[in-house]
Amino acid sequence: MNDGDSGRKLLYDPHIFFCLEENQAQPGHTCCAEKGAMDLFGHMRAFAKQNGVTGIRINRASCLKRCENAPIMVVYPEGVWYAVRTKEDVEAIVKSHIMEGRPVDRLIVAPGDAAPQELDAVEKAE
Amino acid sequence: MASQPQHTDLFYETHILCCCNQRPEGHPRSCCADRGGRNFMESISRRVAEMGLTNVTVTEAGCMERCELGPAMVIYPDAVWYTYENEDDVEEIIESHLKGGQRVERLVLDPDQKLPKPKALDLLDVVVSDVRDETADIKSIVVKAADGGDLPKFEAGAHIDVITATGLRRSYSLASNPGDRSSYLLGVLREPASRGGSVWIHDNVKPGDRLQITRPLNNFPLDDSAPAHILIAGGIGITPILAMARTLNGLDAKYQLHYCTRTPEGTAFRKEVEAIAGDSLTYHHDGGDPSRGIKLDEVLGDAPAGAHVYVCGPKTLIDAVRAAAAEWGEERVHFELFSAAPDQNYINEPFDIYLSRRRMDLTVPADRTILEVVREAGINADSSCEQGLCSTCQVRVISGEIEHRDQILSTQDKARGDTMMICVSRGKAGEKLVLDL
Repeated sequence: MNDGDSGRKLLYDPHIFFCLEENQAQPGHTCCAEKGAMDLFGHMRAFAKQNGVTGIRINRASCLKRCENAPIMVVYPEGVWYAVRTKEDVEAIVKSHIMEGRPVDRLIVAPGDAAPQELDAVEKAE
Repeated sequence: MASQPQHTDLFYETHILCCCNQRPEGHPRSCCADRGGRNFMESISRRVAEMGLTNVTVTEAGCMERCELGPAMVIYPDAVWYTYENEDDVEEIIESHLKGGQRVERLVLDPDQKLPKPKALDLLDVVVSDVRDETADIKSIVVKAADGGDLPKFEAGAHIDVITATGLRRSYSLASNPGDRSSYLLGVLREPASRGGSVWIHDNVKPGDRLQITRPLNNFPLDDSAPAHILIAGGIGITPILAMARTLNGLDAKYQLHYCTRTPEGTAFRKEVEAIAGDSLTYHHDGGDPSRGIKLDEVLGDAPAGAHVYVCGPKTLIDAVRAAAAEWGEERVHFELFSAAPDQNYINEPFDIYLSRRRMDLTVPADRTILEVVREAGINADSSCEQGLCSTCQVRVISGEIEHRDQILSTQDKARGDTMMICVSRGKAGEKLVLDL
């Protein structure tokens, strides 16, 4: 897209897509839903609401095709991807990234990052 | 591509998220799934793959709270929202936005938009290249694209609407070869008793004139899986039948063409019909006395097993064919009416409607149609024939019991109860119809 419209009003800022896929995992991986994504998604929504965050949307999504990092979510328009495991992880994203504009570096996954150790092991075992 | 600051490289340069949310049946807000969201998402995924667009991914999303405007999608990191309602829209988004980097403004959903944008009528500019007197009261008209390019493709049975200078909109079947996109051939019967569209065309249209027409729409398609086809035309009803015969020639399919007119002199497109249908053509001239006309029992009785019959012409002919083919089953009998002659004495009663996309309640009084009431509420609903023949005003119905009065939906479509022609059909008395408007 042309770059002439940065700073224009966004409907949701940010718009977060949380993978809640149940049965589409790429070979050697486990679906986000089987790794607790639904609870984390519910907790993230509740935590954002408790903290009075508005103007955002935490959206359900099907497979985001980053199964190696499950449970996975993406924050747009920034295009920051997070692998989350615990309630504290999603709380950190709400507090730091959404409320203060500071991405949570320890949870970010980016192209070129090595997949987590245990998944490497699974892949090698196959 | 991205217009926003990035903290990391992107996994996907373009991430398309399509809402496919499915609400319970009859939910008054409806949902993107019921508006076709999933099929469109599949089309987008397929086209992205076919076109080899790299680093683009398509994901199914849950509700994105744009239900009244759906089906909705958002493209990130651009943060551009779109609605789309047909495959042409999907194609334009792919060609223009994904490949060309240009937003498709007519489909963009603005951040604060709550209601559907008024739709501009999508008209084609054409130039009249030929006008001929076929008979004393039928003219043939050939039009070409005003810019000299190809006209949109169409299939046999399709029609276009001509917009007259007097603001009328009249439907005419395309009689030309569906494979030929350089021109369209129309046949226009002068009908002094009608609402004036054909008289205007007869008296005013000449070679070199510019006209506006709608894109082709097909309510009368061929079923090319049938083993044989019986084509029956009455008078000006020959126009879509001509296109069908051309298509069937191209498919090397078996067909018979029965062309019913009063007299040989009053028979339009004779040269074309004879050249195209050859030995498959039979004329039936009744001299104005139907008892001397086509013997439908014989024509249909001799039809090959599994044949489909297609009839276009006056309602009396269509009714006769439908009656004679009553045992054939609806899927084997295809017809297109050019004008409605209501033969039922309907009683109109008031009923309520709820417009789902606008969250608006309205009442349709006994003496008004849904189309009129919706227009009075400031909504520019599209229509053409306003007689329940053309399907231009067709609207999806989310819930409520419909009293169908159109001539176009099949018995099955009517029984499903999820769509209606708002120009003539109504809600049952005391009923509330929830419409996808």
